[in-house]
Order: sequence, then structure tokens, then C-alpha cells
Amino acid sequence: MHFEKVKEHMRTKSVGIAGCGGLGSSCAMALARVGIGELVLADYDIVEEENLSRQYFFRDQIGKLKTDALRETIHRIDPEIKIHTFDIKLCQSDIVELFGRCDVVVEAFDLPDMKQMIIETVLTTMPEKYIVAGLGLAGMGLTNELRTSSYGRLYVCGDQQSVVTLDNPTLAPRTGLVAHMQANQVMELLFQDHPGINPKIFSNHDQIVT
Amino acid sequence: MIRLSLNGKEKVFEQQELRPVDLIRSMKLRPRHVIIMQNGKAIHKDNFGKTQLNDGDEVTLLKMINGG
Repeated sequence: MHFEKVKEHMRTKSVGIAGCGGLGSSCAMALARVGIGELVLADYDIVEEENLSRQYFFRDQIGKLKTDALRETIHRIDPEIKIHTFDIKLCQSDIVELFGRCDVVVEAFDLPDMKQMIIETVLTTMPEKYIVAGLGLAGMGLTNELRTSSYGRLYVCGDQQSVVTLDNPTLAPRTGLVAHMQANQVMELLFQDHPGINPKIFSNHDQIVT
Repeated sequence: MIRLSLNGKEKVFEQQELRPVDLIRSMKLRPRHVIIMQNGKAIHKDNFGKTQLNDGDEVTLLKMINGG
């Protein structure tokens, strides 16, 4: 599997990132480094100093929209990537409209009701669309508790139990692990239709694709 | 009596009728914080009170956890 072949295939693909915080910013960067063709980024937040502890932003980006800051950083790595940004709090109809063209949608929200909203929207109203979610990433250590589980067109990365509290915050290492698990799962899905590269050969989890 | 496979484990409910909303209540969860699939198909939360879960169904319930 030559990197140039990987990149050539990735160039033809589009991924939607819903939420550009700890999960979304790192997942987008990983996909950018492997040559994704197009990213649709959605987030309504601005970069704050406290975000620098775990999100892919820099001190000189404080005060900028997260979507704009992320586009800027991604283009420092690869200016060829097409990036569409949406500075809105997504609702069900936005998801269908903005992510309709994407091959895979990444759920990278913070709040549980937003996570539910996007997962159920994709599964109930966007036939054949895949969604890769992050559930359970708070705290430190317990690396081997992190896993990817598949439920039809939904893939869930994380331990599915670590709740964020004041005593159990989200921290860069574990958040980054889950973000990269999401990016890795996205790649696996994007290569399902590649004639020469079969990611399933390397897969170690159950594949239930409906 | 309704016997479900809930997240891969058998669970028995004494009632004659069982809807997703009943399942959520019995587990003290919030409807907006779960994804429920009946035999592999996701149920929209607007239908949690209208959908019947049947004896022998395979039900997946995923709790939405904060953090992202």
C-alpha cells in the first residue's frame, strides 16, 4: 500500500465533521494529512485559551471561529484540500443538507443531545450514509478500554462509559486517541470501494454493514 | 411477557406491551440521550412512544455520553 495510492484515493472523498473541538479538530487534521479531497466543517464556537489544552488550535488563533482556524491550519499542511465551513449550530435539516454530499460523517459534538440528534438523523433519514461517532473519552489511561464498535452504518469509537465531570475532564491524550480512531475508521470505510487496497485485511473488529 | 435481547443479553419484561419510552424509563435514562435500534434499525426519538418492541427483538441501546 503505497502512500501515493492512498492519497490518490483519498483525494476523491469527502468527509463531514460535525463539531470542531477536541475530537473534530484532531480528526480533521489526521484526514488532512492523508490527503482527503474535501472536508465539510461545522461548528459555531470560537477558539478560547482553555481549548488549547486538547484541541488542534494555537495561541494566535484565540478569538477566531474554530472552523476558520481549522481551515487555516489544514491549508498550512495541504492547500489543495477543499474546505467548506459552516458557522452554525446544526439542526436536523442542516445535517441532511450540508453533509448530504459527504461519503462519511464524523460526529464530534460535546453534548449528548447533539450526539443523539446527528446519529439518529443520519441513520433514519440519510440512507447508505456512514457515521463515525465518539462516545466515552474522558480521563486518562485505560487505553485498552477504547474500542471501535459497529452497529450497521454507525461506528462508535471510545469506551462508551467515561463521563466528563469536573473530576474527570477531557484530556489531550485520550481525546486524541479517540479522534484518531475515528479518522482511522473513516479511512477504512473510504477504502471499502478501492479495488486494490482492502482495509478489512487489517481490520480486527466485527464488520456489520447493512 | 416480552423477552428482548438487549445489547446482546437476554432481558425479560413482565408487561404485555413495551415501547422504547418504557424501556428508557425503566433504565432511568433520558429520551434525548439514547440511540435505540430495533433489529438493527434505528428508531427516531419522535417514535419512542409509538413503536412496539416485540418478543424476540434484538434491541441495541447506546447511551450518549458527553465529551468531544
